[in-house]
Amino acid sequence: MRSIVYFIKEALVNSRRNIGTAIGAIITIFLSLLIVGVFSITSLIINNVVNEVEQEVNISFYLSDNAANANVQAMEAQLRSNPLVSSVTYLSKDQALQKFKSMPGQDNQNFVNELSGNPLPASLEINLVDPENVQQVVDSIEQNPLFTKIAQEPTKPDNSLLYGQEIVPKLFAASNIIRVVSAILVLMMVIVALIFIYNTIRLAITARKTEIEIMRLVGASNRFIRGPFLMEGAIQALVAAVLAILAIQFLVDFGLPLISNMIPWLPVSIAGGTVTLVCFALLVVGLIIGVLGSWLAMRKHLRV
Amino acid sequence: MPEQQTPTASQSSNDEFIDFLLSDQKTPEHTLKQQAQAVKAARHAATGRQQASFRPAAKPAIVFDRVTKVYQAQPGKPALNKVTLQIAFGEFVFLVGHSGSGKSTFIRLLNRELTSTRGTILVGGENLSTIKKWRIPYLRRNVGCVFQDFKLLPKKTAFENVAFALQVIGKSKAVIRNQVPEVLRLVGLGDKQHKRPDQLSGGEQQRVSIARAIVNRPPMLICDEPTGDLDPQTSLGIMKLLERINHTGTTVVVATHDKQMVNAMRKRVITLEGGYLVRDEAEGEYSLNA
Ligand SMILES: Nc1ncnc2c1ncn2[C@@H]1O[C@H](COP(=O)(O)OP(=O)(O)OP(=O)(O)O)[C@@H](O)[C@H]1O
Ligand SMILES: [Mg+2]
Repeated sequence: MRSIVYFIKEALVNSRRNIGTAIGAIITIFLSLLIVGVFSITSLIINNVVNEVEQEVNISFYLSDNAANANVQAMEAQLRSNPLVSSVTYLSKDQALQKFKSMPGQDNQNFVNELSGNPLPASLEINLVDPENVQQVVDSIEQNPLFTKIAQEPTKPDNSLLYGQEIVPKLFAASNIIRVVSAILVLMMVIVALIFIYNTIRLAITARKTEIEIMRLVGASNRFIRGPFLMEGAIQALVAAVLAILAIQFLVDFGLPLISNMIPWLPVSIAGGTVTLVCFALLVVGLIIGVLGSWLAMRKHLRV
Repeated sequence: MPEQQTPTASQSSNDEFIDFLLSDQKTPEHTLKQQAQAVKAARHAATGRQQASFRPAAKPAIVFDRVTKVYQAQPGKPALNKVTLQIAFGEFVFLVGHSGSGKSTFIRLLNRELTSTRGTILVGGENLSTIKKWRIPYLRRNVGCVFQDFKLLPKKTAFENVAFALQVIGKSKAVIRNQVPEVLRLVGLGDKQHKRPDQLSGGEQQRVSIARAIVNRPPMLICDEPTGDLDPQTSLGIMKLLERINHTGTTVVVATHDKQMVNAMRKRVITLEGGYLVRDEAEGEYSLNA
């Protein structure tokens, strides 16, 4: 316990004596962690966006006005029992009209009022557990013997089942690429940051190589020499990580709303809990690299 | 007597402290068997020692058995060549020789800064070729060393440099605050305690190095040119101090060029030439050809 106090004191004194190096190290670690943090959060936001966009992929099954109620209900029940389907909602003709009226658009209200009767079909709105399975579900509906009995246009299945046939495969290909690329970028940034931080620490310690060797020669144990250096690495990493966390919180609180105002059609947002998690990870990673980096960088000077 | 910052001047005023410094050697970390033996051997040495032969009863403090040291940078020319000798506990030994004869190499082998290429070195019974890594710091705490290039910590003051030697053995703040200023006064640096090495002259740095080597009262003291940068008067003060330390049972080995000093002290003199041990005399003189 007494030696911990000694280590902290020595670390602070040494930081003050080598204030330039200490500030340099803190700035390097701060920037590295900030970049990693920003990349991680950006990648998480992009993932969110991709997920949201994917979630919008669902199947609208338009029903014939003459479809028998019993058949529709049987179809609905069969769909519900399909493990790939998460929910099925029946939308009556009236509900469809209401929905159309409330849709954002120029003049839907007036347009509907001018109509005589209701041209919109009833439908089954099918949501999927995993939107990537959309084609499979569509195929199963088309092969169902009930399909021809209740579909709006049994002869042209593509007109009765709407699920963005053209864009869906491209969307999934693109979103997968985005996910992989952003993960690789984050990983690369982490590696670059680790190398950067380690090099900074290594240079700072090499500059004090003679000091370490002298300590060895007057009989200090490795533990005793290492203590203040590791503590110094930990303190610098801690300060840098706190600064990085503050900067990231600032960006999330003030920068993110700005961006989402600029592109309102994309759901740019991130859960507060996720940000906290990223910040915590930065703190832990910073501390580990601060301490472990110092330890590694010292190793060869302690052999005297 | 005018105020003078030489050890000779401060020494007289510090007699009591010296006694304290030198008598209080049986602190826990030094209650080694070798410590007791050292004191005993010193008493014997004071009464009946003849040549550089050794009483079989006393375990030698230092044993060199055909020690050869070859530096990687100079593979063809060993810095030390088959050097064999023994130094008893409590002895005071001068190590002399031309520049490049291997004195520093000898000293640096003793505190395990270097390892021998061939041959065996025993210090306090411990074989330095096979010593466990974790024991090296303990060896060095028992073998105080004054380095030819001082090896002071550049960012620390004189006080902190000396204090460091006590910190590494876990001495309390109170002990440090009490002993460090005293030992610095002893080497004549009472008023320079808070200067960093770059604010001190070569001789002053050397004296800080000496203070650091003796402050934890090691049972063995090895000095590489401890008076190299000092004027004759200060040198004499340092030598007298080393002699007093030796009188309490500490084994002292001094590598030096200082002919006058060696001749005045009438101690055992070991002479090296080109890495060979060429002379070893009980009350020797500094006598080198050319
Ligand atoms: N690190 C080294 N690498 C290679 N050769 C070395 C090294 N250190 C010393 N030497 C050589 O070893 C020999 C002995 O050197 P040493 O330093 O022991 O001499 P010395 O007696 O202490 O000299 P001085 O009185 O000048 O201090 C010299 O020839 C020197 O050039
Ligand atoms: Mg030398």
